[in-house]
Amino acid sequence: MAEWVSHVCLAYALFTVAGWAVDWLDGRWIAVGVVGSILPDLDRLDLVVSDEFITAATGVPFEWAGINSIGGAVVLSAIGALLFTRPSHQRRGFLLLFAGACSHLVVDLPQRYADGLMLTNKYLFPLPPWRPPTPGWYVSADRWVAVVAVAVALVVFLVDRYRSSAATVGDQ
Amino acid sequence: MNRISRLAAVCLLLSAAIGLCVVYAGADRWASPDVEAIAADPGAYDGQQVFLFGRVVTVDAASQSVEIVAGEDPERRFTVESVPEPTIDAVDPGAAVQVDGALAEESTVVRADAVVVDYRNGADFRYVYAASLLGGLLAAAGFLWYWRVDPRGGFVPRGDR
Repeated sequence: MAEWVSHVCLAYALFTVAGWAVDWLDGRWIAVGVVGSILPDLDRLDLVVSDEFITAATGVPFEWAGINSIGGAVVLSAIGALLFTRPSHQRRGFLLLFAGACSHLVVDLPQRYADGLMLTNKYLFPLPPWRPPTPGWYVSADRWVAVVAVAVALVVFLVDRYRSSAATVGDQ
Repeated sequence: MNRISRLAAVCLLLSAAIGLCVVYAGADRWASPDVEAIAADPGAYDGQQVFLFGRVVTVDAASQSVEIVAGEDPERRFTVESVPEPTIDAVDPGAAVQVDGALAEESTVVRADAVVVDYRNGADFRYVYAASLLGGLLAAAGFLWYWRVDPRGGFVPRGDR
């Protein structure tokens, strides 16, 4: 996993740029997409209630990692979407949460693994466990990842401000 | 959708999320044997390629090896041999590493082909947790800037933004 500063900044950049093409994708929906970008890491609940504890207590094998996957992205986004009250908000909420969660999985893909393959066997669950080679760009604790992500978000933020002010001037 | 049916749908989806975690735990999605299978019959796997995630217990620079715990049992240790020197220099006990290599000596030894260090030491863990906490706070703050919790349940937009 990359840390959440990187996930949040890259999702902000992605949805802000997408918002330049999609009218309704404004600040409040970008904020929803950004929340979506940390949904898969809810498997870190393992640090609070461990897999082993749940398995021992219930007798049923259990791994939080099941939700750090494409299947988990669908289910968690649907839960999040239902927390909005209006049907139109629920639809957009699902779309943005799911897109954010997918951005998380994609950002996590090119990490370095000892056997040279991506962890797509985890992230594609419940789809078949196909594993292509990983470019091995980074590991979780590499500081430069957050530096790049913050820089990307900052550039997008500034361009977005420039576009908004140019549009305001254009309207006058 | 009224409140009751929304609540029912959320409960159903929470069950589905739990179901995913149960099915995932029961599914075999790895090409190499897992630690539990190796522990059940250690002699049977010598020579087989494994991909392990583990915590470093001891570092032995003289023999270029590290001892790791992989899996749930802290007594299930593997001595990882042929660890590259820069890796030996980088890791402290407690480091999180991945090892790809061949099992040997009744599955007590892994002759490493590749070792990747995810977390070198306590500072790496603290960095990732602190950055994640900060990222989580940023995401929550951004969301609550635009949305508020309706007392009747659910998120509604703040009208003025």
